[in-house]
Amino acid sequence: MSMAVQCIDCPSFYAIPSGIGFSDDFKNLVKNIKNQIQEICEPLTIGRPLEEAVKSLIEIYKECSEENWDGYNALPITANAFEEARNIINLLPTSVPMPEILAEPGGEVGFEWRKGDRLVFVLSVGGKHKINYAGIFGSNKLHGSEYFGESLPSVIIENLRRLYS
Amino acid sequence: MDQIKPEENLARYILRKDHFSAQQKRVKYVVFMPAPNGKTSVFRISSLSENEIWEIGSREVAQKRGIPLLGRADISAFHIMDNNLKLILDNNPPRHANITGWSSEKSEQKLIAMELAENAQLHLK
Repeated sequence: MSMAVQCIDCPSFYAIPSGIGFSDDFKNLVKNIKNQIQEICEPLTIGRPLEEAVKSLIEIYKECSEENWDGYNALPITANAFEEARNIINLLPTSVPMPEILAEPGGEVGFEWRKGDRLVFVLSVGGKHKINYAGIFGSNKLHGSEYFGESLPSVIIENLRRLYS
Repeated sequence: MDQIKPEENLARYILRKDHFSAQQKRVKYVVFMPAPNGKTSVFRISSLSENEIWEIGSREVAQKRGIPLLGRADISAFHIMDNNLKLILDNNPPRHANITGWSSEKSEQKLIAMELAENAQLHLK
């Protein structure tokens, strides 16, 4: 008996490279691919966690786009941070559960994956093409930052794999 | 000058519903992330009754901001000091203190806030 297994290193099929073509034909192609993906996902449940994550992100953006949204003088979530967070959602490997999405007081959008006590990985984006991340894996801890473009940095994928292996 | 002892308990009052998980009975790391001024506001709660602890949160935090108080994260001062953070008591309002000494690196702030959240206890209003 054979079974299909999702590759954790493979990019999400929701992610479509946007910076590799600039002609009208390319833009139409991207639009068509997006429509096709939407059509495929609509009758299935595979698109649901992604839709819910985007919905949650939109809610957070609406609630936290003005200063002091937390009552403790937090900075607003900017449109750039929102766009970058939406890209992150699209870039996540489909084998990884959708994270909880949070607004951080510094105006960044945070993503939290928690598997259990002291098994947590968190990252955030603030619209500056930079990911700040931190993880607790039992007694091991790490943190760092990475610049990113159209794909998730491998260190992020590796840490998500470590959490869910 | 009065100083906070490691065995004291502190409360961080929670005003947003996405800052905790009632189902998992835990607070999330963002509760402890510093404000843009580099401080996390807390109150000393050792030797106070439950009613008195909630009264401080309602009067000094929620009412002043016009936002409902949803809960609080209790944490021992030891865990704050153990992460190389400082507790500065200003008593303005009474029993108020700030967690300071955060790293300028956001990733390190996150890691420490995650550690604090792992050691905090959620109490819902």
